[in-house]
Amino acid sequence: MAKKKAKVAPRIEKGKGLDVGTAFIVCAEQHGEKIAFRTQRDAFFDIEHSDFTKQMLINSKVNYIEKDDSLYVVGNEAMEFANIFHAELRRPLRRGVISPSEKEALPMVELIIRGVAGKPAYKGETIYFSTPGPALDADFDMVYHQKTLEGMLTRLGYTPKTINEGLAVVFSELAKEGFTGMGLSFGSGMVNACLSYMSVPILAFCVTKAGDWIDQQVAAAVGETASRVCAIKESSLDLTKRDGLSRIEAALSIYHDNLIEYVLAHIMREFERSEKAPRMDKPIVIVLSGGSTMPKGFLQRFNDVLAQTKFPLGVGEVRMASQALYSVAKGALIAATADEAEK
Amino acid sequence: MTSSELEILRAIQREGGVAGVTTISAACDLTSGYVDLLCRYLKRGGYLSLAGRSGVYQLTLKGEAALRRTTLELGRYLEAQERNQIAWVLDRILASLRELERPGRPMTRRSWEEERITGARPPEEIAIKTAFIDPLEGVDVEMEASFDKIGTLEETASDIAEGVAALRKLKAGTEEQEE
Repeated sequence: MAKKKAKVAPRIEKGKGLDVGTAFIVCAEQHGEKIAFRTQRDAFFDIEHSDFTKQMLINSKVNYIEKDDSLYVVGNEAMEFANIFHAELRRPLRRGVISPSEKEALPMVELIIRGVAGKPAYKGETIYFSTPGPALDADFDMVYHQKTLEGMLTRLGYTPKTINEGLAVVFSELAKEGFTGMGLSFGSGMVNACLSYMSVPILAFCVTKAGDWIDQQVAAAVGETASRVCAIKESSLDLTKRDGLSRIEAALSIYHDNLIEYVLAHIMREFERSEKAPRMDKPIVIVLSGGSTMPKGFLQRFNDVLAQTKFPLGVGEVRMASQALYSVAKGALIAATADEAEK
Repeated sequence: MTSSELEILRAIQREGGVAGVTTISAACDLTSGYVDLLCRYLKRGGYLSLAGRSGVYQLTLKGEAALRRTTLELGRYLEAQERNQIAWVLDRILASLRELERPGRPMTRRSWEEERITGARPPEEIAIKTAFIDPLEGVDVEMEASFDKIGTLEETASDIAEGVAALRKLKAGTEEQEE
């Protein structure tokens, strides 16, 4: 009788990629022949502290934090609790960056990062984390955001390095094109754009209108809550349809057009403003990624709007990222693995 | 054309073919900012034109034609919708009956709780953690958490080898040039 082979745990390769987003934090690492993505909703919800509530959370295996007589439910369950209590979910990040005014939320970010990234494989393991490009339509403290994350990751035992969010999309999706092309990451807090030539970012920036902005505008327009709008957007929105839509769907459809126009207008404006406007010999590939590209028909909608604009570069193809929710973390992982291989 | 855009065209038609954003937004129960945005799209599409001053729109011939056409289409669409909905409900009833007829197989309904326990979240023991460092001050803070490793885990086949190799090659090339 053949002996049963003992199960061997897959070898964990060195280097990690971390996507620090407004809605989700995702960590990517390589386990043998697979990539493991660990995702957590970047959110928390505070509830009244009592021994009973605490015991209830323990029994229900809900992730919580207890601090200064307060109980905070963290991650996916925070959303469930917010819905039950008809209250707003709290987010440690606003419009893509850690806000200096939300000091209370900082331990939450550290905990979520610690939760998804875990301990380093060895002291000083390289971890690349995503950072937004300069914002064209907002003023915020990028240095604070970056330094805070660097501090957190260093304390966990990593060697943290930054990667532009749009460039991470390029690393993840445009290897065959020699890392030349444009990566667009449509997140919930911001849209990041990066034009790269052979892995070098030529133009990188972000705008702070994105998925959350769509939800808020639609909610205000039709008198609904942003969370209900968000739920419809995530569950049933079909952007291939223009007819027979409900009021909320119709508003979502319009504001998706508006967001895409806004992003393309800013790309064109940046080209006009740039003294070193890049010249590309060949038409480029544009890759779309991020949670806000998930509604059915987003790619078609993007192409429709693009066709109406005078885009400054030849576009050979616009395509969706192979894993739209994970491409930033995956791109950061590629950068980290390449760095680790040099050690 | 979306239902909100149609509502706007109808509201303008009711006002005699010319109406301001405030009047339209009151008639359609939409915010004036949203109505203004939709009117601009409709103007771009040739369904509306500006009636002399900003914020006041009038129906064009194309807009009137669209209204006539969509009234007919809407009738047909609603009929089809009704048929689809009846078919959908019947489908569900038949599926439930089939499920009930199977011996020894109770009806199952995947709830959030089941998904949470069986699928998305790995079954890990709860470890109470107590030592945390304030990321700003760099000092220990009194905190207790019920988890160690959290989040949903998804594994996919790795396809990054090509990317890593290409990136290393590019980096090596750049370093050689710099030297």
